Amino acid sequence: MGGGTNLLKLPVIGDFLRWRHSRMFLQSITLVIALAMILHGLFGPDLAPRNLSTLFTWVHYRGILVLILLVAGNFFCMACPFMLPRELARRFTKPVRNWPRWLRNKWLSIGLFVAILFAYEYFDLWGSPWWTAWLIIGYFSAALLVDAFFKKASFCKYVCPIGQFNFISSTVSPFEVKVADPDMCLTCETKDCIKGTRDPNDHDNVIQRGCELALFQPRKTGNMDCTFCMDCVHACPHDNVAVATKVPGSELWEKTRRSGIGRFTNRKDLSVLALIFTFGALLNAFGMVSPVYAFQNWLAGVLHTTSELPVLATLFFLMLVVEPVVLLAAAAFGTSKWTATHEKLLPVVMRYSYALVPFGFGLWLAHYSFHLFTGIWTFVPVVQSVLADLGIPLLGEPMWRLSGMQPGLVYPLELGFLSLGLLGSLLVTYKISFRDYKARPWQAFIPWAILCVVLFCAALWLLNQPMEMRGTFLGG
Amino acid sequence: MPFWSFSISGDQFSYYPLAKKSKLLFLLLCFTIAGCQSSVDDHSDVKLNWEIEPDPPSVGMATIDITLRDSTQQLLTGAKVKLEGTMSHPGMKPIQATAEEVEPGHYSAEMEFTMGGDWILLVTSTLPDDRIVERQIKIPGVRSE
Repeated sequence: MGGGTNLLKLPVIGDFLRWRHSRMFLQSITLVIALAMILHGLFGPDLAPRNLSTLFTWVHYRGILVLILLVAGNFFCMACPFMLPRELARRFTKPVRNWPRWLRNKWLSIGLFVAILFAYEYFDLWGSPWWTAWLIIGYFSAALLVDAFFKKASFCKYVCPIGQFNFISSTVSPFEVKVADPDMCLTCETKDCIKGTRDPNDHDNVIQRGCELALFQPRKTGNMDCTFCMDCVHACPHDNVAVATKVPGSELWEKTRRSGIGRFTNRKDLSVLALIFTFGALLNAFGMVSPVYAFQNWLAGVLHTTSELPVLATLFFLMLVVEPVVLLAAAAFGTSKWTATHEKLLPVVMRYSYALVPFGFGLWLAHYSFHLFTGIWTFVPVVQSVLADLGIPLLGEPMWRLSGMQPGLVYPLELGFLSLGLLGSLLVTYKISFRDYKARPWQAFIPWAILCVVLFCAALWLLNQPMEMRGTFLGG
Repeated sequence: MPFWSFSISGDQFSYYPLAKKSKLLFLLLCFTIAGCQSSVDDHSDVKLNWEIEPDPPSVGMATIDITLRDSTQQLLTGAKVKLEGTMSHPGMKPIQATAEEVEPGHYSAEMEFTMGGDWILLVTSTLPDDRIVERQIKIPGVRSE
């Protein structure tokens, strides 16, 4: 494994992660929080800042999620509350169907990811506790339904949009679940990490399941599709699975064939996921600043409409399709021409699409951490209010004036996250160029480096725009 | 045994009849949350009219003028009127102000909108007879420039 840190070897943290019920423990906590959010969303005040449903979902959860991804890894999937009802249901009925072969890709989850981004803007989800509560209920129901009918972790791997966000983000995380000593796996005959551990007296009885996402540890590379469920850790009879440090982003330039995934460069869906993740970050941030309303008004004039649906759909089409196609085609054309390989543009785009992930993550991080840090204490008065309503007044009257850091203090952090993302993207671009264009690596590198800088400048411009969070449209 | 009646004990789930208690607890929680929204009555007989200057408002100072009348259109004097502004997006710093009675039944407050976007003003008026009247005023599209 080298000289990295293995979380499983650390006191307390290691003991906890090795504990057979660590996941269920975390899931139980998040389940209680989720249930409180649902109840408050459905029955509590309809004012978003005073409702746990909207506050926790759109301020605290998103911010904490990206920060944990930055400093550790995909621990949200480990603690995912949506899986707990499914775990319980599976104790009563085992699914018998395999997930349809034609859906064994990321296209469905990419569509759902875009749909959630669209619904967020169109229905102003941030301002509606009721709709946010139903979104959470919908998530629980979808996870339960999908995994009630289909074997393994079909929902996580092929459906869950949050999961895909976490998977692609965790490629730049510093920890991954991986084999501690690869040589030990050479002599392993049981392959429990993928097949599960069976009862020696009843071979049909799996007493510890293996990886439900089809990631065979000896051939697993990086965090893609890994939910940190620790099933492989518990299943390995040789105690040879670690949660160990890695170079953040290194898996984005590795060309190896990955278990359960294949090669990144052969996966159009993963490539599109990386691009939607990156350009979606720009779109989501654009939706929160003042110029978006001027642009929407202009679009409405061009389209001769006062309806938000066609305007928003056009905005999405421009930012998630037209903009990427133009920019990526230009960069790929530059690489193809200057390296004199005269490759088709699509393979070049697919190769370099992963290089944009660190930048995209940096922007999500800057955006969500802004909301978290500027509103970090806003949960205190809301919780006080809920407890007071339940007859448990805590610390007196709700302290509604509590908020968080001043936006001016958060701005340097945002710049830092964004710059870190740019540096990461430049590094991955450099590595890919020197891997695939040995004769003219710099000629391959420069067009994509320019693209990274252009996207960085666009994000920087966005961060410097006045925020204007409106749910109204065309005339607010 | 319904699948929701479980508890964690030892290494495995163990099941025992807690269904009734769980259901009761759940219902109690629902009703408590639903039933305890606010102890303030609606007092729909009290009418609140408001104006804002500048209109439309932008980031910075704005003046809110509020008029309180009863069901017979009589001006309600001597009320204590407090305003709290909050954005439609959660997690933003709220603003607060106390309105002064500038004329009988007319109350005025200065508020500073700190960010562009949709704002909601919660107006809490304590009438001389100790009745508390709460109203929400939606102020969409506070401009950032």
